This record gives sequence, C-alpha cells and structure tokens, in this order.
Amino acid sequence: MDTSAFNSVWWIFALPVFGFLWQCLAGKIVIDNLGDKLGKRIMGASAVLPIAAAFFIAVDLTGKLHSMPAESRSVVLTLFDWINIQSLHVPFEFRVDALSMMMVLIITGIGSLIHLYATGYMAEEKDYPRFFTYLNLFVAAMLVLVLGNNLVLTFIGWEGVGLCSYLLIGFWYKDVANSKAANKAFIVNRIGDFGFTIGMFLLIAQVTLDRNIIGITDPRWLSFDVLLPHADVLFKINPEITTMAALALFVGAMGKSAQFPLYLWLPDAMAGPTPVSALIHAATMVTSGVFLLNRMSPVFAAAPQAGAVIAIIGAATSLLGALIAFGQTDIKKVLAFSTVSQLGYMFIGCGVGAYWAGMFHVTTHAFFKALLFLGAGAVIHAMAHDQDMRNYGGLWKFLKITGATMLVGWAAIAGFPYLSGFFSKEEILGAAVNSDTVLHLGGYMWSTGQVAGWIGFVVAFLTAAYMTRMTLLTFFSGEGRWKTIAAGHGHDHDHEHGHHDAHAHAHHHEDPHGFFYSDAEMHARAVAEPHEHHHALDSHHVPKEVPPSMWMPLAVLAVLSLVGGAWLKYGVNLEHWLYPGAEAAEHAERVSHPMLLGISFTVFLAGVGFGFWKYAKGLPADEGWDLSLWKRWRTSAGRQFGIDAALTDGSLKGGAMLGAFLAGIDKWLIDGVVNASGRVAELAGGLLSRTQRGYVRGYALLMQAGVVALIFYVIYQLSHLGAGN
Amino acid sequence: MLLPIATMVTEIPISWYLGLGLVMFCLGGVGVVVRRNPVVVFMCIELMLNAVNLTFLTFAAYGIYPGLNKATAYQSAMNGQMMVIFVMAVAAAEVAVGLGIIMAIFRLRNDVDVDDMSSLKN
Amino acid sequence: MNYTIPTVDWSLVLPFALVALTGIVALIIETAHPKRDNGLIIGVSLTGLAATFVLLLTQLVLPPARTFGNMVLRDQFSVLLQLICVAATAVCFMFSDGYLREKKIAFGEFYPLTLWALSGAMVMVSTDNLLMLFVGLEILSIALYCLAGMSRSEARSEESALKYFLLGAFASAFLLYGIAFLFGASGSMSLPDIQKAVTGLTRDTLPMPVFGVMLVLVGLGFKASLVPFHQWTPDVYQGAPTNVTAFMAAVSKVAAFGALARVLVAAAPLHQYWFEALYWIAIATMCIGNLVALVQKDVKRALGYSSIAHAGYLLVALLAYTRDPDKVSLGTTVFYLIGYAAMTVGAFAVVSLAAKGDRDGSRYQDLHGLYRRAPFATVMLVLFLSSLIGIPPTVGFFGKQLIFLDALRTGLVPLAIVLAVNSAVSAYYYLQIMVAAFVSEEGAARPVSRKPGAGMTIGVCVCAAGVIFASLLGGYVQETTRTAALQAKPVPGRVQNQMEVINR
Repeated sequence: MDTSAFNSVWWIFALPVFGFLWQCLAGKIVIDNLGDKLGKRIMGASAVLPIAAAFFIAVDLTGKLHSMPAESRSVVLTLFDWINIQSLHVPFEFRVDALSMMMVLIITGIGSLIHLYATGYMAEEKDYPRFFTYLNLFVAAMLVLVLGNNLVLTFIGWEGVGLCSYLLIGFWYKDVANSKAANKAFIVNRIGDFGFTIGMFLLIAQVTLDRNIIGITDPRWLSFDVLLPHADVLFKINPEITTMAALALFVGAMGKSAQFPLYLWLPDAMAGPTPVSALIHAATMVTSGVFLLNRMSPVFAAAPQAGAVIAIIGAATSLLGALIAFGQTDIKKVLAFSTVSQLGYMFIGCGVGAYWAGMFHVTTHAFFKALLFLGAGAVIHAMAHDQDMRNYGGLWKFLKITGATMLVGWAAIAGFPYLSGFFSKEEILGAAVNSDTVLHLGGYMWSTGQVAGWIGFVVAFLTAAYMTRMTLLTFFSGEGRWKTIAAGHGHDHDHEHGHHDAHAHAHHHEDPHGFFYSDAEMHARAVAEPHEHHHALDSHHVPKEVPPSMWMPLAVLAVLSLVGGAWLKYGVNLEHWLYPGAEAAEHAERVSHPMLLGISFTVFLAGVGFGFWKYAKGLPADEGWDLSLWKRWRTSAGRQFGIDAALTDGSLKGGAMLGAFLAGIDKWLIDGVVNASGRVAELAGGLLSRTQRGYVRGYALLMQAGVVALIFYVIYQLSHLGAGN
Repeated sequence: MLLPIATMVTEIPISWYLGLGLVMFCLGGVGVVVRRNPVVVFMCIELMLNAVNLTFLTFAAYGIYPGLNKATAYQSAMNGQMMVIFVMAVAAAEVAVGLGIIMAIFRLRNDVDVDDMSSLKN
Repeated sequence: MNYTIPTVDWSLVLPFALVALTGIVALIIETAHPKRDNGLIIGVSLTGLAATFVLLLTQLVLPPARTFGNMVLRDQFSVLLQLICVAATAVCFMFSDGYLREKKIAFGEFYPLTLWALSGAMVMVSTDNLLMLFVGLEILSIALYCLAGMSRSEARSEESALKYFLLGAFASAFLLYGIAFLFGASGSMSLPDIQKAVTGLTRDTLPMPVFGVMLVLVGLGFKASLVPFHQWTPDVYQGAPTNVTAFMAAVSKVAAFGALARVLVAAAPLHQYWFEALYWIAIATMCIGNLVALVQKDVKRALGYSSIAHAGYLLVALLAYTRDPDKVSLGTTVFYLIGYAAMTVGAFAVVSLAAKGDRDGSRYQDLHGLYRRAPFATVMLVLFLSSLIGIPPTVGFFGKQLIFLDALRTGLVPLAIVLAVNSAVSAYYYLQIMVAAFVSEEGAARPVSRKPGAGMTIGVCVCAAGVIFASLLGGYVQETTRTAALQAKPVPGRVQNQMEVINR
C-alpha cells in the first residue's frame, strides 16, 4: 500500500520536538536579548505554533483517513530500524488509524489551546522558556505514546510523559512541597510502569515461546498490526498468562490514569501550574491508560476476566473520587478528584467492552475538564493566586466570561441533557448495565459490569452535586467572602498549591517521611528559599477579568463542551469510526434506551437540586473555617478517608522494614560471602607469599621441582599416549 | 649413519656419553641447590653447561637423526660443534658478569653467602 | 670444492646492529669524557632508537625474508615485536634522566647496557634458529644482570642482580639441554626443521624431542616468569633500579613471548605432550601472580607479581593460538604485548618519581601525597593501573577481551573463566596502589618524590597515548600477524617446511 500520503505524520512528531529544542536552546538567549516583554511574546508564540501546526496536519491526515475504505483505515509508517536482533525486529514506526489520530487531535488541539492560555497565565514567570520546553517535550512524548506502532515505542512515550509530568509538577521546585508532590507522582507512576513492563514482557515471552503455534512469521512481532490479530490465539494457548499480561498492562494504565489505589499522586500533582493540570492531569496524559486499553483491546477482549476486574476497579475509583471531592475546599483539588472520578467512568466503559465509549468519554472529558481547569486557573489568576473556595463567592459580577464558560463546563460534566458529558456518560453506563461482564471468583459469578453501571449512576448524582457546590461557592451564593478577611488572619496561601495550609486545620496529611525530604530539610529549605509571593489576597482585592489569550481558549472549549458530544455521536458516528467491524455484537437490552434517558435526567436533576439546597445561600456553616462544626464524613472525605495516609504510611513503613530486612541480608549473607572470598584470597596470597622466602637456592629448588614434575608428566604422557600423532 | 670423523669415538655406545652428560647435569643441578657460595654455585652451573656441551658433541658425532643425506649430515655436525663454542663463549661472559656482581656484593658486606642474600622476599 | 660466499641481506640485521652500534657510540662518549656528556649520551641513544624505529616501520610492509643461512628471519611478527621493544626502551630512556641522577648511576653505563640488552631482545624475536635464540637471550640476560645491579651502593640492587644472575644462568642450562635434545632429534637448530623432523616420529624416537621441548619451555618460561619458574620476578623487580625494572618488564617479556610463540608453533606436532602441562601452568601463573600480589606492600613488588599474572594471560593467548590457529590469530598476543608494554612502563615511570637518594620509595605509603605533588603523573598512574585492571576503554580491557574471546573460541572455557576471575581479583591491589597515591597526608620523612621533568612527562604521555589509542591498532595487528604467521601454522600432521617455501 502506498503510504506516502501519510508521511506528514512525522511532522506531527517533529514539530513539538523542534519546539522543545528551540525553547531549551534559544529561550534564554532570546529573552535576555530582546527584553522580557518581546522575548516572552516571541517564545510564547513559538511554543504555540508548532503544536497548532501539528494539529492542522493531524486534521489533514484524519481527512485522508476518512476518505479511505473503513477496513483499510490503518497505515503503518517506518522511519528506521531501531532494534534488530535475530528473531526480533522493532522498527521506529508510527501507526495512523482512527484511534491514534483521535488522540493526536486531542493532544495537539487542546494542547495548542492550553499553550495559548499558558502564554498569558505564565506571563509573570521568570523561567518562561523552561516551562514551554517541558510542555513541548510533553506533547512530543505523548505523541510517541499514541502514534507508536509497538509496545516498546509506546513505552518510550509512556516514560517520556511520566518524566515531563514530574518536571512540570515540580516546576516551582524551590518550594519543597512541590518537589515532594513531583516525587510522589513519579514514584507512584513507577509502580504502574512496573506493571506495564511486566505485561509487555509476559506478552513477549509468550510470543517468543509459542511463535510457531501462534503462527507469527513477521519478525516485527511486537508491532500492533502483527501482534494484535493473534490475541485470541494467544489466549487460547495460554489463558492464564494472557489474563495476567492484560492485568499487568492494566496496572500500568492504573498508574498513569490514577485508578484506585494508585490515584494518590493525581491530587498532589495539582502543585504544578494550572495549564499543566489542564493539559497533562486532565485532558491527555491521564487518559493514556484508557488509550492503552483501547490500543490493546484485542488482548483485553480475549481475556474477559481482566475486563471484569477493570470495570469494578473503575467503578470503585469513580465513587471514591466523587465522595472525596465533597471534602475539598481547594478549587483545583475538587477538579482533581473529579478527574479521578471521571477516569473511573472511562475504565468502566473499557471494562465492559465498550472501548469506544471509553474513548468517547476521554474526548468529551478532555473538552470540559480542560475548560474547567483553565477556568479555575482564570479564577485563581483573578484572585491573587488564592485557591480556597471559602474565600470566593459572588465572582460572577467580576468574571463574566470566565463564569459563563465555566457554567458550560459545569453543565457538561454534571450531565445536563444533550451536552457533551451527557452523551458519553450515558453510552458508558448504558453499555455497563446491559453487559454480561462477569468475574469468576471464589466459585461465584459476580456481575461486575452491571454493578459498575449502577454505581456509575450514583456517581453521576454525586458529580452533579459536587460540581454544583463548586460553581455556587465560586461564582454565586452571596457576596465575596474575601472581603471579610481580617488583616493578619493568616490566609497565607501559597501561590499555586493548595495543600500547604497555614490554617489551624491541616487537613492535608503530611507524610512523615516526606518522599525524600525529612522535616528538618524541608524547614531548612523553606527558610532558605522564601516563597515568591504575588500580592496576597486581602479584603481590598478587586478581581479582574483575564486577558484574551486566556479567555479565548475558554470560549473555544466551551463551544466544544456544548456541541462536541452530539457532534461526535451523530456527526462522526464515533463507534463506527473507531471500531468499524464491531457493530454486530449487540447485547440484549436489559435496560432500554428511554429508561436510561429517564434515569440520567433524574440523577442530574437530583444532584443539582441537592447542590442548590445545600449551597445556594452561601458557604454553609458546617464548611466554614471553624473545624468543630465540620460534619464527620466531610472531614473524613477531606482526608481522602485516610486512604492516602494509610497507603503512603504503609508503603513507606513497609518499604523501610523491607529495606532493613534486605539490608540485613545484604550485610550478613552477601557481604559475608564477598568479604569471606576476599579474606580467603588474601589468606591464600599470604600463604603463597610465604613460599617466597628470599633464598635463591629455594627458588632453584622449586624450578627443579617444576622440571621434575614436567618430566614425570611427559613420561606419563609418553607411556600413555605413545607415538600416535 | 655414522660420520667418518667419528668412527673412533663411536666404538663406545652413544648411551654412555648421554648418560655421562645426564649425570653431570644432575650433579650440577644438585650443587646449585646445596652450595651456599655463589662462586661454587656458578661452578655447578658451569658443570651443567658442560654436560650440555658434551651432549651436543655426542649428537654431532653420532648423528642419530634419521633422513639426512651426507652433505646435510656434515652441516648438522658442524651445527652442534658450533653451538658448543657459543655456549663456552656465553659461559665466559657470564663468569665475567657474575664475578663482577659477586665482587660488588663483597664490597658492600664482606661476605658472599647466598643465603644472606634474602632481604627481598614474600 | 668450490665455495661461494652466500649473499647476505644486511637490511635484516640492520635494526639490531644499529641498536648495538648506538650502544658502542654511547660507551665511547662515556669513555672520552667520563660522567660529563650525559645529555649527549641520551641524545645519541634516543636518536639511534628513533632511527631504528623508523627503519623497522619501513620493514613492516616488506614480505618475510631470511638471511645468514636462514638464521635471521624477518616477518611481520618479528618486526612488530621489535617495534614494541624499541618504543618501550625509548620511553625508559626518556624518564631515566632524573632517576639516574637521584640514584647516582652512571649514564654511560646504563644507556649502552640497555641498548645492548635491547639488541639481544631484538635478535631473540627475529630468528627461528635455536642457536640465535640462545645467543640473543644471553645478550639480553647478561646485560640485564649488570643493569639489575647498577645501583651499586644499594644492597637490594646487588641482591637482585645476584639472584637474577644465578637463576638466569641456571635456567639457561635447562634451555641449552633442551636445545641439545632437539638437536639430537632433528640434527638441526632451525625450528622449521625441527618441526618437520618431529612430525613423523616413532615410539622409539619420540621421547627425545618431547623432553627437549619441555626443557626449552623451562628456559623460556623462566624468562617469561611462568609458575613455577617465576620466583625471581618479584625480587628482581623490587631490587633493581626502577627504570631497569620497567625495561625488564616490557622488553624481556616481549622477547620471551616472541621466542615462546615460535617454539610452541614448531612444537605443535607434539601438541598432546605439552599442551596440558602448559594449560595448568597458565592457570597456576594467573592465580599465584594475582593472589600473592594481594598481600604486597611495595608497588614494584606488586607490579612484579602482576607481571607474573599477565604472563599467565599471555600464555592463554598463545595456548589458544596453538590449539586452533585457524580460528584465532597470533595477533592477540602481539596486541596484548603492545598494551602490556605501554601500561607497565608507564606505571613504573610514575613510580620512579618516588625515589629519593638510596631509597626507592616504592612502598605503598611512600606514594602518599603524590597526587598533591605531581597531579598529572598521578592521574596517569591511575590510567595505567586501570588498564592493568582491564577497565574499558583502555588497551588492557581490549587485550584481555581478545584473549578471553580467543579462549572461548578454541574451547578453553576454564582458562577464560580463570582469566575473568583473576581480572576481578587483580582490581583489588591495583586499586590499593591508586588509593595510596591519593591519600593526602604525608608521613614522616616526606616528600620523597621529585617533580616530573620534561622527559618524564613526554615518556608518560607516550605510554598514555599507547594505553588509550593502541586499541585502534587491534584490527591491524590481528591482520598483519595473520599474514605473517601463516607460514608457521602449527597444524599437527600438516606441517610445511618454511625453509623450502622461502628458498624456492
């Protein structure tokens, strides 16, 4: 097949790479020479442009793909041979198909909007080019992740985005809390990456062992187009291993996509700048787990048990995230837990086999969650970098554009009928409640798919409620509460991360070991590097609407949130577009379509109604500053029900114990053996050196002994072997 | 085959010469180990060298080597005899150097027992 | 009988003749103006060596040739080994200046004697005639006996000279006895003739050449310091003046292994009677050299034991070659010798800095503080020791790797394993020496080390260049020696007569 029409895909990858190189090599020079204002403008523009250009190339490629017949909409392009071992051949190859292009469009499209937003948001930042260096590199890595045509390339992208996420969370590295959050994200992600590699190796091992039985002859057998068609054969030959491989890959997805119990890092990741939260921790990177499940869907489809596990974990995560969101007072934290919860939805979809619905929700979620994060960023920007919703209220009067767009976002995520979130959520839940995904465990069959679906409806209610809470507390419900801040009240908020709370109630759990920093070190660094404060929020503050570079992306995303869902469902026919051959497999409908609609409406109205009932009048007394009035479960939700603390403590203490145990083994057993061999060698050397007594006659004697020994050896050989040459 | 010049010598079986050489060589070897005066030790080595010389000459005279024509046989005999001359020359050179070293040591410590020369060890 | 004087190709003997002549000129200068024209002696010596080096380089591309009734042989193997010897000697000359002054050794004695020793070594590697080999070995040895005792006020130096002399002469006796047996078996001193003669022997005629080979191996094994003929090595290395030790370590090892290679190739038809013995000797040599080095407290002595261990490694390379010359090349040995010469001469050069008056200052603690006084030389010492350990990308690593692979290719797996383990063990004492040089505090009666002079710096730099860049020569050496060694292929039962091939 002639693939030259798709060669421009390399530009999609190359442009962000060039942008990255340009930013890191030239950024400082440009800003130093052209002055702060002009230099930043140039660097900002040159950060946005490559991503935007890549977006347009992606649009063009998608158009080309669309014009092709449905069954051949998958193009593999090889750049060069990368790994070439006897029976294994891993080229550097990209795959252009509906799935990858959909991700590329999200990454570059929303990515360029967020880049644009960031040029305004980060305008006061000293390390301006460094930020865009990381951001462009992130886009490049993410593109490798989604475009790579084999697990190895995907893994490279996987690690690359992890690295960029780490760098960006810790962007304000002078604040120890940010560094800690970055470390936490990185370490928790390592657990997931470990799962990914295990899964990959299991597949590799399985294919290597049974290649002849499976019937793969192409040496590129790690490539998706070669491997995936054989997934069901793989399962037939070795069901346990294939299920284990699928689950291990899912562990990888759990790490990146913040599923229970590896969700811990995502709330902390809000320490990064808000555009980062929008791009990486809402729209793209965290959905790469869902992408992986879609990409490897033949493997997961072949291993139904894995799907059942995925569905129930997704449901648990979404419920947990929604509950915890009630306890948060930091606006970004609310959105972070909301993201956790929505990611849970996507996994429910994938778990019950509706992979396309998972991707559908990835897309709509990218629209409205990016919108909400950017809106939250705008609010934070307008409120002198205070993130506590308890200080907001009545902002509608000041921030009309931000408020309007965020209202759209609220409606979309809450499930307002016929907005984008409504459609994707309904597809997932419909597929779930109608699925026959069952888990065989302990001799029973657990209908985890249906359970997950019903949990999903509960979560939909909760989502509507907590999003209403957030919106009311921020934009409506009474006058601005910041006006009541007394001087010296101590609202000493750090500029970008919410959990460093100087109030009487430290509701964030400070982990004792501090992920690499002891308390003493933290204190020392805090003293050495005082926070760089913008002007603090005080009672005289007047919020101002954000500049156009910031609200324009909001407007675009608002439009997408309004109509994106309907367009994707009816205009694009996403299910057919992503999985052209899958329509035949329809289940018997347990819950009919109108019934689903009815439930969805009811749930939405109930949730919003609950929110209004509770928060319309302003900040309820039981959520105020006074701790004693807090309801118990909200306190508990605020601390993530102790899960974070338990897991962190448990792993740290367990790790310390394991470390001590292994250190003991190392010291006594391994060092013992090593030292003993050293001693033995030295002892032998000492003994042998005694034979060197310094007497020349002794040396001569030893030589003679050697000669005699040789002669005896020769005599023996001669008598033994004879003259037979 | 025998060479004409060696007819008289070869009345005696070759093994006698070789045996004598071996005995001399071994005596020299034992002497090197048991004697403590370096001059005597070197004399023992000379004895070994002379044993070697005797062996060379024996082989040159008897020419037990198979498959040689007459011309080559002469050349071989000369080879062996020439070797003896070289060995003697080398032995002489060694004596010169050896005595020099022994003298130098004698000047340092008025004593030339090889067993006292054992400060370098282990 | 009409007798025509055979034509002689003087270009074959010119290199070592030139070296010997240089020595004579240096001696004449000394006798004309005793103890005054030191600079001139150094200049003449180095010029002579440079001329020889260039001459040898031009001969590197020439086809193999013989002269003097086939007693002198020149092929790529011999030219390469001679080049190593000449270069190593030149480096010794470069750094000897300050050391000789410190020890009050007469320049007019050291330079001529070393040059003659060098000429002996060159004769040794450029012949396949046992008579010539013996003569070359004796020229080398006798000069070395004198050189070892050169520091006449030092008892250690004299002791080492006496030990070396007595044991060397003793070993020569074995070598000669072996030659006598080989002569008796073949009627010739020429190795190719011997190889031909021993090919088709019967049960009755077999013992004599086998004993002969064994005794020759004893004699050469002494020179190459193989266990159990190694015991002189640490004593002499420690006692002799450091520059002599450097020369001895490099040149006499090259000469010994060059001769050993030719003898083993000639003795290949008798492979089954000596191979196993050398196999065990190689293991013992590697292990004993390294193990005893572990407990040493003197750098020169430790390097002496290290040289024993390296002899073991080299023997592995030779054994692999004689076992299957089709699969592996004699170039491995040559390449390792290049590297060994560079790193060992370099190491001794730096150690010679620590000499003060009568004391050689070569104990580990004498090196303390060296880094502060001579940082460049210390860094270079680290480089040489790293190469001796076999840390990439030094030549020591590539050399060992080649030997290791050769051993694996020819099925000598146990030798390869012993080699690898020994490399690891050896790291311990080399690192000890490094650490000693970096200890900052000085003990009593220090500093003992001199500042490195220009000659020292140049010499050390030459060695460093060798250690770093000689690896690039690996392929060339392998190829060149492959063509050179073709005629001496040790294939049991399929022996060519070299003389006939060349005379034709």
